[in-house]
Amino acid sequence: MSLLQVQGVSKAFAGLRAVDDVSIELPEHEFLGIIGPNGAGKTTLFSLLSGEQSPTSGQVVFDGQDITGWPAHKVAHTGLVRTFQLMRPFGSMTVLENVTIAALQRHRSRPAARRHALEVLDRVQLGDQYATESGSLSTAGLKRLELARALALEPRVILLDEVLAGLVPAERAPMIELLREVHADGLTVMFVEHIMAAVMALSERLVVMHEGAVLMDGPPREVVEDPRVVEAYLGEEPA
Amino acid sequence: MSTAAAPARRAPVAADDPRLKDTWFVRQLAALAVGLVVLALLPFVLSDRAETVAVRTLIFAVMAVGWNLMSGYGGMFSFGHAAFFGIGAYMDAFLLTEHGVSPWISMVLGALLAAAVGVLIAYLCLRYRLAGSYFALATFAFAQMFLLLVQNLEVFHKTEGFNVPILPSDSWAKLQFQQGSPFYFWIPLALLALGVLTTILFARSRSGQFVQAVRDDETAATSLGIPAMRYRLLAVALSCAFTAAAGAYYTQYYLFVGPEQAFGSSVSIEAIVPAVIGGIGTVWGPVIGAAVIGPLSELASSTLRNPPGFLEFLEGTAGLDVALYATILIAIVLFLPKGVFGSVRDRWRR
Amino acid sequence: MTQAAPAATSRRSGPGVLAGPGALTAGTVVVLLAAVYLVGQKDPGLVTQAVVTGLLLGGVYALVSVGLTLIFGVLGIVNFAQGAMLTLAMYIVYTLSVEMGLPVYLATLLAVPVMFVLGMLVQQLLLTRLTISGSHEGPLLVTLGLSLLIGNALLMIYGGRPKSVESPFAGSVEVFGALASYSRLVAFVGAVLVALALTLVLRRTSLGLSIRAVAANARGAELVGVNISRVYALTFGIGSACVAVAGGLITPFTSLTPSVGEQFTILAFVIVVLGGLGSVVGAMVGGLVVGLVQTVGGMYLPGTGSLILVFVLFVLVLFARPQGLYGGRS
Repeated sequence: MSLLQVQGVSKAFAGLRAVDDVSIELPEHEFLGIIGPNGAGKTTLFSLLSGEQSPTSGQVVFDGQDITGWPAHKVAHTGLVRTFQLMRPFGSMTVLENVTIAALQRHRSRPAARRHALEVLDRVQLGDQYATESGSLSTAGLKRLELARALALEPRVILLDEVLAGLVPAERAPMIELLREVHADGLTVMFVEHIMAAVMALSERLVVMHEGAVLMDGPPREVVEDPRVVEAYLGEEPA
Repeated sequence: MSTAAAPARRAPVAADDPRLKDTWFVRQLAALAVGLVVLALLPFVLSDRAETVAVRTLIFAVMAVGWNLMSGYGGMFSFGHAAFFGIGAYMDAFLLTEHGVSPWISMVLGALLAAAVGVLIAYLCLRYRLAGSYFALATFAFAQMFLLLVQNLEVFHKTEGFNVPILPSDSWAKLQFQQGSPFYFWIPLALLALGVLTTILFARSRSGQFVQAVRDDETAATSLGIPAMRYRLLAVALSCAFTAAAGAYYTQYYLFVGPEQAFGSSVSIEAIVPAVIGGIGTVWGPVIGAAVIGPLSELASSTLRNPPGFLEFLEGTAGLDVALYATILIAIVLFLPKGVFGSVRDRWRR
Repeated sequence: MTQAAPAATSRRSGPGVLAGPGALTAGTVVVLLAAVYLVGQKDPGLVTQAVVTGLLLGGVYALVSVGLTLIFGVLGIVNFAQGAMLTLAMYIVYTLSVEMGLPVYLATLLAVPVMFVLGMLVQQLLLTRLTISGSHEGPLLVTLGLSLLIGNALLMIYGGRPKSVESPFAGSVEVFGALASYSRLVAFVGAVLVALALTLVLRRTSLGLSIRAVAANARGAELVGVNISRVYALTFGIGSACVAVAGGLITPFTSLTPSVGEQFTILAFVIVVLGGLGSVVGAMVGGLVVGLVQTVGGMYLPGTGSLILVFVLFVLVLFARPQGLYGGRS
């Protein structure tokens, strides 16, 4: 049985179907990429999985448990964690304090949580910026901070929403490498991404979304060469 | 394949890693202890007149510390904190004059009732996505409503308010001493110290950290597993409780409380301005701000009694103190939004 | 880059007032009034009088609230100084008419542009920076400060003793068997005309379109070329002008003290919450409802007691339908 099962999930807003009957199986330890043109419903799908929004129909089953419609904080506790496309640091706090907030979910004692947070920060190479005000980090730093916070929750599945967006090409390779390491350590990943180089480098399987629905689901090479996908997704970044 | 939940850590962090060093807590407690000792000596050096100003300052400080918990740390700006102050004030007045209940008990009861009311208002408002403005509006409305309520109900003596009967001798049970007694200073000082201590503990605690995270970014906080409503309501409860305690003490010190003194909008602003001047969301901001407002209010009163030549037209009028608070409030919000303490602290950090 | 969320609410227009919440409200009001007539144990003539006075008063409340809700809808801030500005307008009218001898309604006409400019200045000088930088509490704190500053400044200048202004039209007219003084009628008619004119401006002019665009999506409006600073300033000016008209119109029958506006602030808040924050139609409907509640309720709880009923209404709205009658989301 897959770790995460998305079954016929839809989200409609007054007649417009932002997500249309989407079904995806995510086996444990897979690295699944989701691509599609803007407005295809990818971020909305993530919101439906992580609990920011509730589907108007369909089910989300995580580790055998039906979590459809659960509020975000409850979902996070099950081990399904997401990051955000628009970075959301806790602006009044330092980098370490930001990650400690997440670590406090798993470690009740403050010293233990801080230690764990620092370990995660070292992991994503932000360790030396532990005392920086989170608001003054660079984009690359903020992206790593998002990732660090999510990792500090000790998740089983992580949903990454355009984690490479806003990074200049030179910053992308280290991030891709970091994601590869994190995956190798045992994490299951579903990520939305536009940078095709990253998508092809990391994905073990690819899902294409278009106008809210799944257009195709399969091995990356096959998917990107499929004529329907090429037609729907014109204007992609060169690999 | 690993079934462990956590990604394996490459290098564990040692317990004595210098980056983990955090002296904030100890420093705050030390400052509190020192401040407490220094201030406790004040009654021995202040004249009776100065002591009344000092007590007024302490009351402002407790109100502001209370306000700061909900509005500064919680990010839920209360524009009607008079509602909670008044609950404490009237609870004390009513129970004492009608039923002979000790003010200490009233302080606790008032705190509990105010916390309950505050939590209810917050719960009703925070369900609505427009949290900030709606909550400000609702708290303002409730303060005004309570004002109307006591002005119109016989059981609360309508517009006459309550007079606390003066006792022939000192009484700890009834919280009354000789005029000018140092206890009148030490009790609110203790209350303030308790408030500041609560702020320090809360800010550092798991709950307090969660509340601040929710304040900074609710969506991110909930995505990290924090149930926002629960922790927000905790901050609200603490905030209202302290403000009500300040209200109860007010009644005992001034021996009189009426609708305007308890629930008037000037009371709400007196809870807000010190925190804004000093720095919202900081431990010491409200205290520093109160230290500015207290003497200022005294200055305003004496100016109105005996205005200097060029301000003669002000003689006998009322409202100068509130007008001054309001002007300062606007000025600080526009030009020094982090407050005095907040700005200094930020500069020092860099 | 981001997914565009389709608008979850649609703008009500046309016969919107009669549909949905409007019909429900009207129905409830009719039912309650019928109850008062039949089992309220009050002389029907008295009830009719209360209804008439309530509606007349409600019209003025509506105008004050329309200004407030407009400011909220466009700027996202609750103008705590709305009542204080009403008071200020009234004192301006008082000064012009009693101390300078101008006819009351002419004084009102003169007060309007003064308050309009004042409102624009307040926005420009005090609020714009904060609104644009996205500070939520800053503008609120400033308007709160402003309300207390204006109130207390007036207290220091004019003193606390109530003042009154003579009405140019003495006497009253009969409406459905109840008496309506001319000045109250003029106030009602004036308020309704201004509110309608405002609605027309919002619906039919390009300025109105800009205002509605900024209310819906400030960033988006900016991207299509709307000068949002200007819209902000104009909106606050309009809100102030509404309050100036209302203030001038009620001076002939209202006792004037520096805190008279405070009561209006709280009523306007309840009205705006009842109608739905940001809904002009809601403010108008809400104004009439609250006016009725105050006067009909005043038969049972005289004086300031009637405001307690308004309080009860507010708490009910908070419990049952916090988004108000015409508020979209919850």
